[in-house]
Amino acid sequence: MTPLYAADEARRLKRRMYGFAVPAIVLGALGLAVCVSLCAQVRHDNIMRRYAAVTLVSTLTGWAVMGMMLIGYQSARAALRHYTWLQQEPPVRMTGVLSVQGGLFHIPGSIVVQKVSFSSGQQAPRLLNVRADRRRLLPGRPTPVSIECRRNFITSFEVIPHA
Amino acid sequence: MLKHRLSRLIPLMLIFMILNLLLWGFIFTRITDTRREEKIVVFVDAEAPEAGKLANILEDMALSPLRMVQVRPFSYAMLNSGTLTQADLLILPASDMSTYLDWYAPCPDEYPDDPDRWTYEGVPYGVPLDGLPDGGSALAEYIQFVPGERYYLVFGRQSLHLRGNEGAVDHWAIVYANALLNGLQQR
Repeated sequence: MTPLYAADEARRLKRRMYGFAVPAIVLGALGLAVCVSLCAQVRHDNIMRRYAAVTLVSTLTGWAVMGMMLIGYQSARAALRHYTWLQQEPPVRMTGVLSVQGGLFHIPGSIVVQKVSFSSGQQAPRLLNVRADRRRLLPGRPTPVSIECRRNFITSFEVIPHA
Repeated sequence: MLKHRLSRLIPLMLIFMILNLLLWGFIFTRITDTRREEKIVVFVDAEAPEAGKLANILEDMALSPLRMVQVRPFSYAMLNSGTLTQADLLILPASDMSTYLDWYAPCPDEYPDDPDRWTYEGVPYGVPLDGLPDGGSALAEYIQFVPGERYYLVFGRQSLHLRGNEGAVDHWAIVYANALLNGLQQR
């Protein structure tokens, strides 16, 4: 089976969250300290220069913090929430033909997913989800597979070799 | 995925930048200003490219309890003429003296009778800034006086630092006026 979620996924995501949050907080605090020290050096003859320096430092620091929090931290937090939600349901094993359907879909407040069609023969094809950052692991064309699924998300799959 | 996040991030970054500029502008206004009772404001009816340096010199040389000296060109009060009418000291060219007559306090008693003083209906208002505008005064380093024009130093009617004015808290405008009149040499 090819797993789409690591065995220590939750720990990895938590580490990633802290990996972004801690440097962002440190950078924000440093930027604020620099701005306060620049403010403390304001005199009549350097007001405009100090104002330019403070706004430049605070803007760049703020952008960096926003980037880390919005791109790094929030995506890790959304992925962790998604993973925790998946774990609440036991896995279901199925066998059928898997084919990739259409483009990516962003679940609001959660992860980006790739829609796939799974046909098990007698029943109508079902639409399932695969986390988008692992979609490259999927076979490019309709392929018989055995999958493990939780809450309509494929958590692992195995290509069935042709008899 | 990154594209989606960036499409949210970029507008937020722009909004943050604008709010940041406004916030620091407000903070700088607060930290570079103080109450009227604690500062002397000098308005100059001329270009004053080195107004900040002149304010620093005045702050350093006068051993007053005041916290701040502000030197501003008239253009600074373009949007709020109230700051001009509340000025403690005004430096004006002779040609404009009659224009702002309502803002002037009569010359304090500290200044002896001087035939060169600018008077209106017999009341003396302006003390001449000697040596100007020929470069003889240290003030010319900080203020671009118009050549050939005589300049006067005037006390503000609403100044809180001139005894005799309504609500005056002290008489320190005299100290700063003397510093200016003596070409920034402390008497």
